[in-house]
Amino acid sequence: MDNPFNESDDGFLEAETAANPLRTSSSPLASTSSTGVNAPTELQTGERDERNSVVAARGTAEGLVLRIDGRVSTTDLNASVREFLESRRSFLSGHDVAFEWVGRKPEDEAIQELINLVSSEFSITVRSSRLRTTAPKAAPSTPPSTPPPHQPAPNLSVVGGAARATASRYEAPTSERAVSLFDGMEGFDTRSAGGVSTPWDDPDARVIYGTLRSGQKIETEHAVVIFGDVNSGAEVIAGGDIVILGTLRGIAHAGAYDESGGGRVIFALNLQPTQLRIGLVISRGAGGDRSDSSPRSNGPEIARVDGNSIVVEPYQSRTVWVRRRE
Amino acid sequence: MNTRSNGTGGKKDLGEVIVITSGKGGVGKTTTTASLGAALALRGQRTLVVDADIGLRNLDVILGLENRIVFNLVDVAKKICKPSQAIIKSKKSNNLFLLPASQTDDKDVIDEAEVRYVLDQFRREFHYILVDSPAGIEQGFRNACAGADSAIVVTTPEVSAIRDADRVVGLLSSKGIEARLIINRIDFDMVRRGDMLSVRDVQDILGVEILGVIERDEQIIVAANCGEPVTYNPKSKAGQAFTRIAGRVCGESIPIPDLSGGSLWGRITRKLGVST
Repeated sequence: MDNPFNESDDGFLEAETAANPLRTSSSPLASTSSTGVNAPTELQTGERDERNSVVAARGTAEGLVLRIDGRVSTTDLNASVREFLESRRSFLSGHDVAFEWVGRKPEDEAIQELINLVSSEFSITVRSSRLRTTAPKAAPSTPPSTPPPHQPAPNLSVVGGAARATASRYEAPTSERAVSLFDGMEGFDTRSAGGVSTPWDDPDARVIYGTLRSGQKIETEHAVVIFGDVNSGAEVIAGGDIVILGTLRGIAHAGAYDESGGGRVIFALNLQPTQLRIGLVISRGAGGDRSDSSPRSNGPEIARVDGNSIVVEPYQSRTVWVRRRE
Repeated sequence: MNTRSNGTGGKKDLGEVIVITSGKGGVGKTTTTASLGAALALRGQRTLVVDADIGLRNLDVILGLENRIVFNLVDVAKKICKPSQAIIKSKKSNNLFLLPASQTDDKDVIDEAEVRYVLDQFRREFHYILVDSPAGIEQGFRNACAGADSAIVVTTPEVSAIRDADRVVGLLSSKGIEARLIINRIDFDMVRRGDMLSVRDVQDILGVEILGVIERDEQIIVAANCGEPVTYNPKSKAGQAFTRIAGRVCGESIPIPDLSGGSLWGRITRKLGVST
């Protein structure tokens, strides 16, 4: 049986980086901790299942989506889903998900059985259920002024990461919106509610006024804007994007609750990080000349995922909103 | 008497308690406590220096008073002796006193409340109380910060020391204690060569008011071994720096001299564009 996840336009990354930095959403949100040593908690799903071949999760603007191979038998289906959810119980319990069927959509009864299973055993409600279209997505029209060529900036190197042949562009989560999510399911329409997070507007973004000192940590499911520096030894962990209006010397982890990183970016006026993380991809900053007196500033820069590595570019506002609006 | 207003609005004649800490070990906390204490005493301020490094006491050695210790900080805290029995007058000044630490206990033997009690016994007697904190951020550090009105963070211009200082500044501010910075052991030749962080670099990273800059000085080691703070050595640049720092602590506005000027010869050669 074909592994449904070999499609080349897939946004999934192989989880072969040395450490899995994904966060659990049950860790304390939006807390600044300045006491004690908070070792970053990692999404340790025990033995991180080497790619459950039937079920995989991804985050989108509307929330979590479970991609399920609909071609397996009902027993296998239920068992795989159960196994997948069991190992992520604390992460997912109480949340809602959407089913996205790959390959084939099972019978309605089978779907309903699965929905009941998921609801009764894991307290997870299913918003919607649909078949994933396999038509290749149209490439976005290149913006009039193309951004500089995608090369990993010389001051970043990739830690771990498998060499995986992928298309150079990652799958923007907004493409989900082009397809109807509703298929006779009694879900709720998240798009109508005000204050809901959309790809171009995060109403829950946090704004921090001040510098993060060594040992302090900000953790949030949403985006973060910091009017200040992030010093070496400090950490910013966000489910959304990270915008630092100052110097980043510490660790920033954007798209921390999404395996693919969700197209998130890290911006800083002066990017000199210890580490950058987006989704599962980790990249370390250049150690560089420690005693260098001159600030190695290349101006405002933005980091994003490109394939299996993190790419740093001089900041142009279009590189962010063009991707979001695709 | 140095007057300070307390929280209730009335002015009281109480000494100011300053904790001298760093996070990183070996950057010059004890030297600073002793030398600054001596400098304040020279200005006529009654000063008590307290060694809070229980189990690894050093302040007594730097002041040359190790043979005169009878009672210590822990004895006062546990009310084994009267407070006045534990403090030791320094050799060279009638204004400088030492409250030594215990060497046979460790840092968990007392807690913050006991430290505050001890400090309260002496607040009315002294203009300044300098508390020498141990390295680290655990109970020893917490004890040293108990009851402090302000803090002096000591760092060297090195990346590891600065990161620790940054952590400590964050911890102090979460306790509501304002910190000022002393940069110790700076070598302006190395800074010029680009081998060492400059004062500006340190300021950029830490963002804390600089109380003083002290150049690397061999005389400090000599002074430590002799048990006489370097402040009493008029030829020592570090001693002069501590004297200036004492002035700033007392509220005088003394600018930090541009020590990178160096010798007259240095200035001349720089003007000519000749490298030395």
